[in-house]
Amino acid sequence: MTARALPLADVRILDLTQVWAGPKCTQILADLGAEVVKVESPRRTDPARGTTNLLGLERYPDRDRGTRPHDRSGYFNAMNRNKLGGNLDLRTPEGLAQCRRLVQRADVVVDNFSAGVMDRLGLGPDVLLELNPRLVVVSMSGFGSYGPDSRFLAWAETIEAVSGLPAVTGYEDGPPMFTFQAASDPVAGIFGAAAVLTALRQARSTGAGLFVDLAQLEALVSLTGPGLLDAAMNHRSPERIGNAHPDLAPHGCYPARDPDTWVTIAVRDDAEWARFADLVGLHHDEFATLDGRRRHRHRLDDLIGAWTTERTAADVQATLQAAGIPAGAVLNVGDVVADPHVRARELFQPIGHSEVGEYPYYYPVGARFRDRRRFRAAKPAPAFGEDNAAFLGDVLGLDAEQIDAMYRAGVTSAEPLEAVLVEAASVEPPSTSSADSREILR
Amino acid sequence: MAALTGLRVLDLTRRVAGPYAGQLFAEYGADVVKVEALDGDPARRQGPFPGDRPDPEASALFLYLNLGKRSVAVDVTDPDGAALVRRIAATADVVLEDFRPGRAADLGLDHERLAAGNERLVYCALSNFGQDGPYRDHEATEITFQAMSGFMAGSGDPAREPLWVPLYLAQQLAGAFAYITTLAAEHAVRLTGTGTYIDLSVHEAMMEIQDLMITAYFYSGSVRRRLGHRRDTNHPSSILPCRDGHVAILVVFPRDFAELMRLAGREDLANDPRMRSGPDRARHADEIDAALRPWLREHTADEIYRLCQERRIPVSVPLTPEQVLVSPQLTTRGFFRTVDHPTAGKLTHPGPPFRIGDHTGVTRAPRLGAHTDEVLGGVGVDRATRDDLRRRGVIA
Repeated sequence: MTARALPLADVRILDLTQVWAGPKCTQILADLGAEVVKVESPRRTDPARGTTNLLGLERYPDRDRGTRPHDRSGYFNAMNRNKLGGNLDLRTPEGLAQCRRLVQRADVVVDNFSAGVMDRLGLGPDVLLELNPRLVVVSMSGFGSYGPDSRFLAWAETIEAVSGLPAVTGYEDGPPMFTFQAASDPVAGIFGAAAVLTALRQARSTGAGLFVDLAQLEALVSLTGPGLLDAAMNHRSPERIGNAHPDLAPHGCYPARDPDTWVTIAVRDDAEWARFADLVGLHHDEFATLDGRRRHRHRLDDLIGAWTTERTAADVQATLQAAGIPAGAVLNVGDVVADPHVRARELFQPIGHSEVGEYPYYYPVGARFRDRRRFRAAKPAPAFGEDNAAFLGDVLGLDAEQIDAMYRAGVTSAEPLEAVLVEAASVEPPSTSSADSREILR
Repeated sequence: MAALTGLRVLDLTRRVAGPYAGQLFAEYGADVVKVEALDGDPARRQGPFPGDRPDPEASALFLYLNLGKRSVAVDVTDPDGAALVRRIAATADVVLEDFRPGRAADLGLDHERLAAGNERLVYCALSNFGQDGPYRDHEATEITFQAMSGFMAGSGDPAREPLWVPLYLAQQLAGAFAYITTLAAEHAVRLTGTGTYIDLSVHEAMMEIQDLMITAYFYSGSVRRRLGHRRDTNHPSSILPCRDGHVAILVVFPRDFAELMRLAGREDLANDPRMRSGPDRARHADEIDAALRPWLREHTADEIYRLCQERRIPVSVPLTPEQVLVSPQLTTRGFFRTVDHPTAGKLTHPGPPFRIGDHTGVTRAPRLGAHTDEVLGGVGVDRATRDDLRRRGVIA
């Protein structure tokens, strides 16, 4: 392996993940150079393609689903770049047999199915480790493989609700609130990548494979650590206090001059307060101490708001940052993409795709290694069936006759077969109950 | 044997992001030496504290972020102190630092200097906004990252100020990315023999969990608005008030919605073609909320939970941290562990984000400077020298 190869170039990952949490894990690893082989079912493609559920139009180029929506989903295309795509019907003996061959040729297998699904497919961790004793198996179910809730249908919202995060989030006079985009999925994906790398190191050191039973709930709860310790130490749970902070004052989100523009300000100590008070003109006695600022924080926030509302968010940010005070404008995604700092850091990679053409995608790995050319994206997300020849021929090493037979038998397919499942009587129905369709989504 | 046994990490970071990365290394078995200033990591002065009594050895924040590390107290601004750190770095596989961009070089602790005698070194520099760019020297706390990354703009009620999430979200995620990137680079060192430099920005970590939203913007120009408890892709997918608290109800499939409407006594809406898809229901959120309101007002969270579960409608009850501590699912999984704390006594402590093998993990955060002698002795600084350095206030 040369020094120019990417860090994980010697790692092959069999990727059975779907939707967001699992694909985010394997996306991180793919961007770091791992060879990620993503296997979908031709009869149940990754729901991020929008084939089995309706995605909002904003996910599609110019809000147009087109004639091949399963290849046009920005959701899928963002999560699955740098992965080689293949499809096998794992509910057929031949599909399962080929998947087992893949397991033998992989270093890592990752899934984010509900607890029990991999077992029912004949791909439980014991089976996988028997097929390949050096294998790293990472399962990322919602609640983990065991426990009273392990068979509970896990959705990002339900996971987030029981993590404790919403209970502490919200306006002072308001109800608990979810994060706006389901935090548990990307968080689980990030810790999933950490789990793969940690387990890989152990496997390489000991020569023995292992199974990591990651629970998305536990990954999310890890981010609430200090609050849990406070609850354990002091038998209390925090009140919701909007944008205020339990220790710092002032701390909040203040209106700026233009409609619906805002700027956040946090003052960390008395020295910072002195500089801030000078700039804003706030020399009232009651604010001289942190204790006073906390006790009178509503009045303090009102006075700060009166100052910020006369200025643009950018001005407030620049003025306060020049004095070394943490101030940051509230930016929406369009603002972020146009932000001069974000542009200077070169965080977006244009990737060309056979169906949607070229778009930029968030791609931070090059900035992290300060080597943007070396860490460029190697390939787009797979249009369905696009990589199947390479998958069947190169990765699985099958010859033309074998491949042909698999297509004819519907074990693999050039196009998604979801519609065919409903209409063709000869197609074998799924062996499990209808509840499985939900579980496959997770 | 733990996964990272034998990996030596020098942790020069403070507060949250860097120490969390160091904590992950320690959790999975690495030998993590934490260098603190003589008055300690500032996190020691930050609560919560047991009984709200500040104590540098009892900060829950410090405790959570520094389990299993060894602590060496060194004044790195003193040239002799920096020299000591260089001696430790010479034996390290990984260095984590979070100095202001540019400062490491002033101190003689930059990558170039440390890698000179240690070409396998993986050097990870964490910073607020990265090592370069217009915001390179910007100050930030957690809310700053949530605001400037795009995260806050979508959170909160449309008619009110945007809302933050009062957790160390950006900073802990940055620590996780530092861990991932460093471990990946370390993986390569085993094969190439050469280390690397990593430039890890907290701001970029927070942007990364929003990469789907960024893609939607590039594909269709869409910018998400604040919608309070609603989503524009589905309804309900919300935390809703009920008689004695709140419940989280999520409709995924049309049959979920039909069942929910039947529970609410609104058979007329159960199969309403206007409400078939998620986006359709989002458009009719007012009507749906009005339909649910009487039923929600009448029933407790527990009742609603039971009724929804019986009909397989996705539902859960938002838990407080105190309730999370006694969650049967988490306790059955052994997620919490008992930590023996000198001030707080026996403490229920959250476990790691995932468990590897049988390792029991780490349970002690170090007292300030508890390992100064042990670590410095281990790199050849003899007793007499250490005593002298102590007298001069270079180490403690």
